[in-house]
Amino acid sequence: MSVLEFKGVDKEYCAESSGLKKVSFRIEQGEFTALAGPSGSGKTTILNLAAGLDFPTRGCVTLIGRDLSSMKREELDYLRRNNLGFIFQAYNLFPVLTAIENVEYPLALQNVPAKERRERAHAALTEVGLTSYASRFPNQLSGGQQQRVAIARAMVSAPKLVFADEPTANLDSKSADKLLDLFSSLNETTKTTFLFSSHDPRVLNSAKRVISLMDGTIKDDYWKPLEKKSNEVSYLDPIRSEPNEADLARIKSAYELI
Amino acid sequence: MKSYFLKLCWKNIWRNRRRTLITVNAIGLGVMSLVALRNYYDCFHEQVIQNVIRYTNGHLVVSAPGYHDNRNTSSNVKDPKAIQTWLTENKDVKAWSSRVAVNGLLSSARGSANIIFAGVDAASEPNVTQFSKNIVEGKYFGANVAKQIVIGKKLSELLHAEVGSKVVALTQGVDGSIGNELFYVAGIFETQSDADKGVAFIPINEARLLASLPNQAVNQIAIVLNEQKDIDRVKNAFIKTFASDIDSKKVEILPWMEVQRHIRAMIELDKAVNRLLMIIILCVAALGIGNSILMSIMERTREFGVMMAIGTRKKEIISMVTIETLMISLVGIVLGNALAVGIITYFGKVGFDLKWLTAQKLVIDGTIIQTVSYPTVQWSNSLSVTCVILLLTLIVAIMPARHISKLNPVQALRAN
Repeated sequence: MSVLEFKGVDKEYCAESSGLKKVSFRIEQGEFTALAGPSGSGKTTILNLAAGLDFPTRGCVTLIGRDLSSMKREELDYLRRNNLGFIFQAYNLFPVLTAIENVEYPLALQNVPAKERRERAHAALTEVGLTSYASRFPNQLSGGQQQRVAIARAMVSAPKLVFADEPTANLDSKSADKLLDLFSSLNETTKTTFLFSSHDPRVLNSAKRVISLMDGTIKDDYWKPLEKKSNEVSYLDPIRSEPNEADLARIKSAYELI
Repeated sequence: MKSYFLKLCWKNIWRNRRRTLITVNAIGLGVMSLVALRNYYDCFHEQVIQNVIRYTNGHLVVSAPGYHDNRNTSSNVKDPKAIQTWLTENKDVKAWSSRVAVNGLLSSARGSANIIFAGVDAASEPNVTQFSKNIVEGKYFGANVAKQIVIGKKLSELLHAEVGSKVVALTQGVDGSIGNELFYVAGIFETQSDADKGVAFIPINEARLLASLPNQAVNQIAIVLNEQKDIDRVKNAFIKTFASDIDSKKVEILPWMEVQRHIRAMIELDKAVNRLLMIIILCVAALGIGNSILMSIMERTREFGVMMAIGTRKKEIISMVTIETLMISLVGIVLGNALAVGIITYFGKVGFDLKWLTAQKLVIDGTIIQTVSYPTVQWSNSLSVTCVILLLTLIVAIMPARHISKLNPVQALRAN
């Protein structure tokens, strides 16, 4: 089932600068996709449009089967609070709340009773390995720990889709690796769909699918090969939108086999 | 959800402790000033009104029409018997006293002065006014009041008269005849007002003789009521009962505020200045609250962006900021009221004296304006100031609410 679909989406900020040009792609339930590309390529714009925080100039964005442009602001708010999780580059935890209170926030929005809220927030913190840091304030946590709290906050309400904007940009390599392992594990266990924006090669390596952007257009959209013993490619691997030599070789082999 | 967000609001207001404390103190001082001033002014005005009632005319005055404008002895009520009977039988009337006032010359062997001879009923007047309690030498009137006079301290000094001294009154009657009479000084009063040198009390019958007035005639009947709030009720009942006399211009009844128009005007002016002062204090408090909240929300623009991204509705964020504003105000209001009650209670015991701010005794229209006041805690003032500050807070909260309602989540997320 498709959870997110972009159909011929244009986004223009002003006459001279265009954010996105004819962007089309589809993300299915349980995908682990990265939006790759340099700064200004349109990664964050896609995330904003996908979350209904911004609207396309042309084209259509469908999220969980609903055309976002036809929805009222309040409906969008409800859609976000009940179906989406957000992880930001700068963590963006509420500084006056403790780690567990931060994680409780999305549940409070959903009017979850206090006891259940606390239990679920505690479970989410356990999931990210921060149970013993529950009563600490964000300024008492390291960057990696803050990002883990942010992940717990994003995941606590069991969203269908989690958006992560440059989640590893402010982390050292060790923390980033741990975080990516956590993302992969959550994707595997909860089947939550993840959509990252990043130009960090580690993130791109861990993603199963990479949508590569350049100047607001999709330059490449490919599935990463499944883990293999050697560098040999599988016939089952998806084909890139602009096939390279390896893809052509695979097509040829498949043809010969048939 | 409510308790979670109330907790979040409470924590938010203390994220910049110093700024919040400054704002709370500003509101607290504003509330304290407003409540304390309102209580002081109310007490001060009530004191002035009570002085008017106790030292001059009581709550209501019956007289011939126009008497209070011209103060002419010839303007008198010739037959007040029916009125006096009605007053005696009226349960709302605590006391009443008939008076005759005539201008004249009072002389002793060593001096003379132009004064008002206030003819009073020695028995009933002490129930109406308090002059009898201001006797510093001798007594108000003796058992046999005939030929007795009570004069002010300054007048006694001017005439070099003591208790027991002989003085002579010389007046012109309403018929043009000259009246003169010998009196003995029974007592000397001191009120610290102009009355001390310009008024002398004599028995009402002697005054009628000096003024050549008929036997029952009076210039005034001063009435004191059991309750000040009954002024209109008693006045209306009087007008209904004596409608024909009023229509034929024989008599009129006036409340104290129409007789003592200067006092009334002074109180109104005082209240107006007080209101102006309060508006200034409220503006300062509003600026304090507005500045604090606006700074707070400007700093949190990115946070609001995150909240919106997570699915918080704008009106929920606006409610949160409004609650924060109200919380700051409430803390200030509680602090201000506590301080005000403490100050009022203290000065209610020891008295608050304005003497250090004024050079002389204040007397308006013969009424002494006491500089010492003993304010009392009136919760209605605390309640009204609290309501005004809360209303002001809600008005001030419109500013940040407008800012938030215009926030674009994408731009908010990019804010530093």
